[in-house]
Amino acid sequence: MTESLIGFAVLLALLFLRVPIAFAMALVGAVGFALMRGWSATWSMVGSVAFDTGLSYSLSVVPLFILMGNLLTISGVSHGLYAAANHLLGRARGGLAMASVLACGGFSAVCGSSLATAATMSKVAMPSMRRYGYADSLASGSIAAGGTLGILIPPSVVMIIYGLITESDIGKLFIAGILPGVLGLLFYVAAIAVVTRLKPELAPKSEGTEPFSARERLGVISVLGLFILIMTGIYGGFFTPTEAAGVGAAAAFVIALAMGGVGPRKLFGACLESARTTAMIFAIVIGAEIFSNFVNFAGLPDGLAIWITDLELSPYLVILGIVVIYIILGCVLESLSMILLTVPVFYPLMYELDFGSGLLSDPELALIWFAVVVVVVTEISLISPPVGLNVFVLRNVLQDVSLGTIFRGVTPFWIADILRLLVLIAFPWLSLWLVEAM
Amino acid sequence: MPSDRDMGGGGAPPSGRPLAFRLMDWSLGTCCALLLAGLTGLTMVDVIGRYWFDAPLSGAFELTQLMLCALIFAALPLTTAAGEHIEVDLFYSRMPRPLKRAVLILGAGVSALVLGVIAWRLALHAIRLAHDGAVTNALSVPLSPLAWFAALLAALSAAIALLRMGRGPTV
Repeated sequence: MTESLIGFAVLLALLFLRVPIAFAMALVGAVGFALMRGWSATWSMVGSVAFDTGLSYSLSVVPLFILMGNLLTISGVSHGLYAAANHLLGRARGGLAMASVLACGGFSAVCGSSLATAATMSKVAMPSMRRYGYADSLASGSIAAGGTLGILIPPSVVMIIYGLITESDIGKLFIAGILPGVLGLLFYVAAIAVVTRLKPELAPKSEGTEPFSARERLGVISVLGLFILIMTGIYGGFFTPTEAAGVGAAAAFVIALAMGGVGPRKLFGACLESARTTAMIFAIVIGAEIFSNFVNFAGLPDGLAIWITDLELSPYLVILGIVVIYIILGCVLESLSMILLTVPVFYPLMYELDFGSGLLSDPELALIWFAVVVVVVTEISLISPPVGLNVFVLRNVLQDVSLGTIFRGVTPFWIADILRLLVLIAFPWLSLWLVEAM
Repeated sequence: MPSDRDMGGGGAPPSGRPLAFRLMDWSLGTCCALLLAGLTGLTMVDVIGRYWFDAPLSGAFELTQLMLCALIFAALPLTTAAGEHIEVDLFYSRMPRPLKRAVLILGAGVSALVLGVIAWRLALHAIRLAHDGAVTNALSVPLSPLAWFAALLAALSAAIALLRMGRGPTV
């Protein structure tokens, strides 16, 4: 166990020296493994991990869901989502910010990445909020926060990775994210209502709503239709989650063509972007696999489980402890690598903790509930200073807004997220009810 | 956080870069686009064939695996050249210039080393697969060419990471 702690320390040091996360994990993992088991075992481990990860059938969802999201991004359906949300909420105080959050939630339903959701919606929602004189902090904060829903509302790349690590059913993980995602939307809208009541100058009243064009209507219908297609496809047993990604990408291609304005150049760009993101993710997955081979061999997960069980703590106290660790790690680590590094260490605990009777007494359900908790904590890390990635995405799009302003803008949403997290921990049925009902 | 990253999609390959890089963007990019189209099309044919014609595509599972593996390694040099591997630059931005330079060299060096080792091990893996005559279960596709492909592209990525050691601390 000491070896793994030293490994973690060296890894963090390398990360802070700006060594790419994927390669730092691979290096520390390989050296650690070699020191314990010898170099020849290490060399063959590295080769087979790299090749076998590439050949992993279940991971083929990753490029296809990313492609689906990128195709929908270039198709411009996001404009329709924003117009529809605006129609619904635009007249309330802070209504444009609420509409941004709602549109982010809608886009999350067809996009598995929080960064892509935030990037897409910022280009759509920000200009209109600025036109109506919304404060930059509230406007950018609502998009950065709304974007985090991308990894909670299915499909979700992070849920897929969690499912692979813990061997949980990806379909069940997806459905578990729906209610907590809707809850997130409600909490964000409430946060906007509270903030604009306290500081009305942040959000001037807007004059009604803009007309709804046919193209925007087509955008909304496509997104709804695609979400329904994927969900009924998976739960009706017509196709597996893996196949759903392929079907979704094909449908997104048709939508992009139907929406018009998408030429071969844009399509090629979307493919290139998806391929590069895929290679980035797989590099991290391979690195994390090598690192966790070392950590597992060094006995960290087992050691931790035994140690925690010996302490005889309340299981909810253990979960809270894990959440605190995640929030701290989330301040310095990128979300995907955080999950790949920590979930293999923590998930065996879900089999050991005694939640008494009730939903969580079934370890399979406890694992799904833990997935929701982990994803929500990861969402929080995406808007936590100093490295919250979604804030940086917004900063890239809005060059004239300072990071400080955006971080100030996400504060109310951050507080709403912490409240939502506590609610989800206290009431596991919020995550598990739909799973059970299926 | 990589400031030059655009997660929004749709960006065309950047021009104004050395010819070799543009050639790589174009050739590997085309390769990736075809593989993505292939993965999507394959799933559609498989699902439609299964439900409407009661004829599932045999070997769809394997083809998906092979194409996925090819896609990842074909895209790896592009990701490396674009500097899109995720880094934590929390402390970097506060470092003095000489230290920045050293840190960039360290990052690129570790990347090149790891990618190089992976390329080397994949090549040995490819030789062994060829020697064993390893083929996939259903379609009997030989595995060794794919491993060679992966090894070569990992080596190319390692070379690109080495080249990136020379870049100045501008970011």
